[in-house]
Amino acid sequence: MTLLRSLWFRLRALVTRRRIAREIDREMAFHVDMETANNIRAGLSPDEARRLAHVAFGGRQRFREEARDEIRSRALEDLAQDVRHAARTFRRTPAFTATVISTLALGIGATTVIFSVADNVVLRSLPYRNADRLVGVQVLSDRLKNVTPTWVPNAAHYLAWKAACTVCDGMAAVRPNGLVLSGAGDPALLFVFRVSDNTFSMLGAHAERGRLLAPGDDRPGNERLVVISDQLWRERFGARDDIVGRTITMGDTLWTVLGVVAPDFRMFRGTELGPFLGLPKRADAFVPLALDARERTTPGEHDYGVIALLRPGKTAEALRAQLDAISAANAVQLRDDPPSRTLITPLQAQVVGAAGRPLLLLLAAVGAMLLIMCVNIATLFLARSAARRRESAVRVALGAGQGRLIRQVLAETVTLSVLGGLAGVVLSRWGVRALVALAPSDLPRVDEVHVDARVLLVGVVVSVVAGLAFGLVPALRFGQTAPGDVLKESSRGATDSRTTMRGRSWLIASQLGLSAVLLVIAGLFLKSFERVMHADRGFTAERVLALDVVTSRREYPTLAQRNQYYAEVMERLASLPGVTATAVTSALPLEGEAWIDGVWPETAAGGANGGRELDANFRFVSPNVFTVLGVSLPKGRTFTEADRGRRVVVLSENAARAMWPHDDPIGKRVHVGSDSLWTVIGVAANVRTTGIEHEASLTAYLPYWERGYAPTILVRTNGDPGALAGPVRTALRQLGPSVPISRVRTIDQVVSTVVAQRRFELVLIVLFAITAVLTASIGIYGIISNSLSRRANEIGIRIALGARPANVHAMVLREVLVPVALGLVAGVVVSRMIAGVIAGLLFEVRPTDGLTFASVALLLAAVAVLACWIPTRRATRLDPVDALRAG
Amino acid sequence: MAASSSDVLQGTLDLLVLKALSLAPMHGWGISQRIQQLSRDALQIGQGSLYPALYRLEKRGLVKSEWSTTENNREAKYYRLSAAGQRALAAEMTDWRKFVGAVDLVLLAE
Repeated sequence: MTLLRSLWFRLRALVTRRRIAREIDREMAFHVDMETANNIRAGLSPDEARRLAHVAFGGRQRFREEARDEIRSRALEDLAQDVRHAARTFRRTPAFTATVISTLALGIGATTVIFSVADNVVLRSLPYRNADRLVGVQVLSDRLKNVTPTWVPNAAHYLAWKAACTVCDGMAAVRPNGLVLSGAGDPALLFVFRVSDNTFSMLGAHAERGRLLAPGDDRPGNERLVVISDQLWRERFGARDDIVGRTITMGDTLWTVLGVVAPDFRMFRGTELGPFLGLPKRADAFVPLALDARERTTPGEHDYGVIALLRPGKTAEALRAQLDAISAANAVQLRDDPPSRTLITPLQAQVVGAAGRPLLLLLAAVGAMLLIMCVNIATLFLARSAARRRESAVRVALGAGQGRLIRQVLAETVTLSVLGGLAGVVLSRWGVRALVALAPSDLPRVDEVHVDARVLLVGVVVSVVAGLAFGLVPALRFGQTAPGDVLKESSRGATDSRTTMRGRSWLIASQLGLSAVLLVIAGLFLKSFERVMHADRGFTAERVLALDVVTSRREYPTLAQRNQYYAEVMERLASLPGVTATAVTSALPLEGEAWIDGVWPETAAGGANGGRELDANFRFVSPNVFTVLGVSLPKGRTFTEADRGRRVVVLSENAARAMWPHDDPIGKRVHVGSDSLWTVIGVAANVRTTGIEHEASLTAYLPYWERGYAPTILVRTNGDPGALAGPVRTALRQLGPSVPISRVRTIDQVVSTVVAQRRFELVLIVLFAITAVLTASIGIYGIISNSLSRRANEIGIRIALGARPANVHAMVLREVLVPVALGLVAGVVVSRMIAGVIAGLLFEVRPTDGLTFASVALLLAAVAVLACWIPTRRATRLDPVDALRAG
Repeated sequence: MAASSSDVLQGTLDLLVLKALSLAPMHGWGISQRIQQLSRDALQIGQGSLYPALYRLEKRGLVKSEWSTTENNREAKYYRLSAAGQRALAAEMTDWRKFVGAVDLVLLAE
């Protein structure tokens, strides 16, 4: 009851603020009038009577405020007043305001941008129904453990698990496929997913038109159904409404369109479901998995991405135990000895994979940058509060409470930071777009990144917290003003007090320390990047254009016809102006492993590796691929036309050494996949296959004519290879009108795709570090120059007494020596710890890299000295007489 | 001004105001005059400090206020004791007497 009344009172008071102020004034005026009249009756002159009445009443202003304070809602009222006061202050000091707001906008904008990326990529759950219960199923690959720790399952295991699993509410499998779409514009290679019929329902996908594949669709005789992507529907079929029920031609077969999947459906891509599965970045069409008899029973085809939906309350561990038990119980039918062991990973973690850590590091880095900016703004406010000491002293003397003053300064800083935060959020909209453009396309989920309410909320919270953080110190100092001391202090400034100097030292030290951390990490990343770019890739080609083609089995049914096609392509393209050489290959360096099969020496039984078979990458190449790509052949020779019909192989150095550590491999014979014997005619340099940062895989090169499969066409040029893309396409289209060209890129682009993630991280972290150092140097400059301008007097006296500029410089440097050293030491210690944590993100650079640490320390020391030297020089150039007068 | 005036003890102002108002509704100046008279000029309250006290009491619901005209035909804000104010006055008077009695016991102790 009391509470309600008091609340009502406050609310009314708030609404009727002016009326109440007037009422109090009237009431008090009446009081003084009565007292005056009383005094006159007592015989005083009217003037004297009024004077005494005022004296008896006391400080009217004070009582008026107290009375008002009694009745109104203090917090709200004061806040509104403080904000108004702050706004007036800002208008008076536009430069200060602009500096603070733009610094904050930058800091909060950057934080928001990085947060939105981290949020979308790492933190937010996948856009699937029951995303928290979805898990990825992989198999531990004991046999291949030197190639990869895990492996996607084969069909037999998937089927056995699916049939017997009681811990999960469903298990789905996808297998990527490529089919050529014809009859709808130019032939195009479509990225087709063969999916089990429960995939869409398990993921909670919706149809935009028609329906999606549903349980029951995957049965024999029902295979020719297709669901197409929204993009394909729009690009190839003009978004026609009558698409449902129509037939389309893919891979020379007719398929009936069941429906169009909603545009926001997200299909798995890349290695999200497991290594080597190589899902395409785009999903154009979905067809029933329809496993054939061979697929069901071939144990070696580890080609299925498998996901499962855990029953509510069941754990990944329970699923693992059950699946392993099923594998063990069916080991004979599954031809699985020893029985496979599974790895169950929450889908979220599996999809985000290794991308999470660098992003979280970036988030920390941007946070550190924001912190430096806050410290910087705090110094600005401190400088200003020092300049406003008299103002605060006067206000305290007039009766303002300490709390009131603190609140007022806080209102100023929070108002500023909210303004800066708003500007930052606006900036972040562009920033996110720029960042997504810059980000490597294989950064998982990067295309889903956007600024939304959640991100905006973070922006707002960060800005308010930042405002409180950097406002508190100056606010407390503002509030602590002892009016007597300040007002007594002559207008002739004294030297700084001990607290001022200590505060200054803290600010300098923390700015330098944070900058040091960012710089060290940026330095380590920079060095790693440089090492990556200069690592030995095994090939030296620069001006090479690569195009992927698909020769359909219908147009080119025989091996001879396909070989004929490749031969014609090479000959025709070689005649184009600007082309110096051409070649074909089944896979490019750095674009991953492909066609892994076993190799073992003829003499394996008693041979060096004890009869164990090695897993090697097979590449089908034309003879001159080594020259076109710039791969050296340290031993032996490449293929020649004369080798047609002979079984010859070129091995990579590591493969040759693995089989014959001591002997000359040339002339030795190896078993390849089956038990046929192939003669080694050459040894090629190791070429990095899965990335510059990973050791080259063991590789075996076979002539393309053995398989008639070499879908990547290479053109070496003497000019810009990109410029030849047009003529090469035209020539290819003339040679094979039905052959789609699916991918065109230069070798440089291949390299830059591989390092894209690293470059992305590097660019951002360097950007943050540079911003941090600039901010910190401006901050230190500001602190010193502010302090010197208040000490102009002192310096004037020193110079008048004979100090030379060098002495003054020395004095200032002595004062900052301790904070600078402390900041640097702390920064180095902290960055050493962080570097240890992120060692896994570095490449051939130790986290203790002395050069990086030393250069960062030197650089920052130099920056600090410079930031002190400039304002000091200005101070020493003042005429001492002026300084003393102006003081 | 009585030279022997003593400042009103902190916290007793509310009690004095309540007591003054218990006799009749009054405006602020009247309250200060009444307290001064009743104490035979011994208590000199800072006249201005009366107002924060009045607003405080009004917020606590112990007094009510309304504007009306004085006998000299001037607008003045009159305060009167509410029922809650009556009860509070009785309670605070008891407390005060206990307090004074206790202090006396100490001071008069031999």
